[in-house]
Amino acid sequence: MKPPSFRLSQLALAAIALAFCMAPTPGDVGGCGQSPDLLDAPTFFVNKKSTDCSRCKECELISDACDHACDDQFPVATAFPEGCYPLVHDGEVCLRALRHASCDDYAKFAADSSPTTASECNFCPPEKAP
Amino acid sequence: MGLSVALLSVAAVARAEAPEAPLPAALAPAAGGYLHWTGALAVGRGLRFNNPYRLATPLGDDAESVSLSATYVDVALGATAGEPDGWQHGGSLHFAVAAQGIPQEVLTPSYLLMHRVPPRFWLFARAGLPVVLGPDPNLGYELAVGGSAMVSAGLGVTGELVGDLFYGAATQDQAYSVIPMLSLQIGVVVDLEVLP
Repeated sequence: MKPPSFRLSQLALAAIALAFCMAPTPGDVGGCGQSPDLLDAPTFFVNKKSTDCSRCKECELISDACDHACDDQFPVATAFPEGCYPLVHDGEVCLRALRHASCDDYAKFAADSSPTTASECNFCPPEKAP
Repeated sequence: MGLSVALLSVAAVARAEAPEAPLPAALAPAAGGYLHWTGALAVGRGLRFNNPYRLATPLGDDAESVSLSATYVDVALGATAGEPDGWQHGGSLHFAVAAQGIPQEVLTPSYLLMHRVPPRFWLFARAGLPVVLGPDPNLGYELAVGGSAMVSAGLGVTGELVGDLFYGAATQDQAYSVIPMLSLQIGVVVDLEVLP
C-alpha cells in the first residue's frame, strides 16, 4: 500500500502535464467544407507585402526585398502568373506559414541573392506554368 | 486392503465435491470496481501521405510529396475498468499541440482498450475522433496501438503508433482533400490503479 503522499504526487505530475502542455497535428490542411474559391491576387499580394514588412522589422533584416516590402510607394503585384489559379486556402496557408516562419528562414526568403520560397507559398511554381 | 483403497477413493471424491467454505469477510474481495488511471506526456512526429497545400516539410522533390508534420506534444489522460490482469475498457482524452510552425491544437476523445503483460508491460489500442481546434476547425478519425513499460509501480515509458485520416479544404480537383497520416510518439506515463 503506497502512502497517500506518493499517490498525490503522481496525480500532481499528471495535473502539471495537463496544465503546461499543449493526437498528431495534421498541419494547415484547412477546414472540411471550405469551398474552392479562387484567391484574389491584389488582396493576397497586399497582405503578403504587409507580412513581409512586419517580419523584416521583427527579424531586423536588411535587404532590397525588405525595403520594397516596407515602401508604401513600391508597386504591389496585381495578378498571378498566367495559367496559375490558386485557391483562397493556398493564400491562407502561405501567409500563416510566413507569419510563423523562423527569422533564419525569413532571411532566406528576403535575401537579395537567390531568395528561397516557403513551400507553402510555392503555388505557382515556374515549371508548372504553361 | 481392496476395501480400504475403495473407501479412501470415495472419501477423496467426497472431499473434492464438497462446497468450499466461504472466505472470512476480511479476506473476501471488497465490493466495488477496479479503476486504472493513466496520464501520459509524449512527443511525436508524423508522415502526411497527401499534401495538396505543400505544407512543410516535403520529403521529395515535389512540394506535394509525402511530408513530415510538425513535431507535436501530446498529453493524455485515460481511465479503464475491467480485469486487473486481463482486458480493460475505458476512454482517454488526448490534447496535442504543434511544437513548431503554425499554432495547431487537436483534442482527441478515444475508446481505450488495455491489457497487462506481466510483470511490467501494458499493451493498448485506441479508436478516436481527433477534433482539430485550430488553425481551422476540422474532424478526423484515429486508430492507435502502443505499449508501456513500467520502470516503477507508477511510472513508465510509453510509445504509440498513430494512424489518422483528416479531411481538409477543397482543391482544384476534389471537393475535399483526404489527408492520411502515420505518426509515432514516445513519452512517459504515470499509472495509478485503484483496487477494490
